[in-house]
Amino acid sequence: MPVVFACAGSHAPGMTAWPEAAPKEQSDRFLGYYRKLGEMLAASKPDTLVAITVEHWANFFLNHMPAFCIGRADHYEGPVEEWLRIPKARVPGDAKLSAELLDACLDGGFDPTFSDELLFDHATMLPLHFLNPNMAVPVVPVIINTLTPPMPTPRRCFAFGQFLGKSSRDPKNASPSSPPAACPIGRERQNMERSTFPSTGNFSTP
Amino acid sequence: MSLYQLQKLIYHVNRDPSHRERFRQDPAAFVAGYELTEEEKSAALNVDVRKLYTLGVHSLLLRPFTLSHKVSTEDYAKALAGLE
Repeated sequence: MPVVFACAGSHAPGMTAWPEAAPKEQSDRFLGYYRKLGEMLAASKPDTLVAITVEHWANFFLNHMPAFCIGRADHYEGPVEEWLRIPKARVPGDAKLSAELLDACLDGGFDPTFSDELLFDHATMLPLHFLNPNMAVPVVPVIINTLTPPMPTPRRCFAFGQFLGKSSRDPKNASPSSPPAACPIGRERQNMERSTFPSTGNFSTP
Repeated sequence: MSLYQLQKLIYHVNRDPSHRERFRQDPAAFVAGYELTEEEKSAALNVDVRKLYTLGVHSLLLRPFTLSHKVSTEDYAKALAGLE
């Protein structure tokens, strides 16, 4: 199937949990653009949204932390957080596309896990709240571990993204992508590991 | 030191409304279900932000846990002031 629209968006929970913390004019402008992005997405008439996302201990814990996981459920529940001020919703899935993507991955040199039950936290629910109002379009979540090291390298994430793009267009004929020659976010990841994730058991000091 | 168990407790409270309710109704009984040191038990029962952080609780477990206990951004920052 063709890829009719692609975008990226922030999932900072304050956007819905405490929007009054920002000046009203700034908040209105910012959230207005998010809603506009949602209108552009709707105008592209997508059948399914492939949501490349992360999670914050909503599903996975240190007993089992996949590098990549593709949701394969008929529906998902969220948000986990009671303080997010986003209504609880049942988000429809697209199990058929999930299965096709999984087959394509396993044939094509990627080995994501799969899950028939996922909770969505603000990482997925907040963008969907603006981009997929009323949760009208089914979603296939693709979760990347950006939570706790060791994490997949940016090079691998980039290659996985390229592969998913090809697979979405043509699940039968996707081939493994070559890693990019240089990875612009590699340095950022090193910084993140030092400063943003200081309090995991993998570090000797908090 | 049983950081794994402490983080598991917080993970359960954060993600599962029935665990959250049990923690609210009878916190002492709830924490008894995890293999924790006395220091860890006390930190969880008192939602002691600074102690939980210095014990090594992941920040993305800690902040949602404290948010569901109505710890404001200001109080959270104050509790962690001076830590690396």
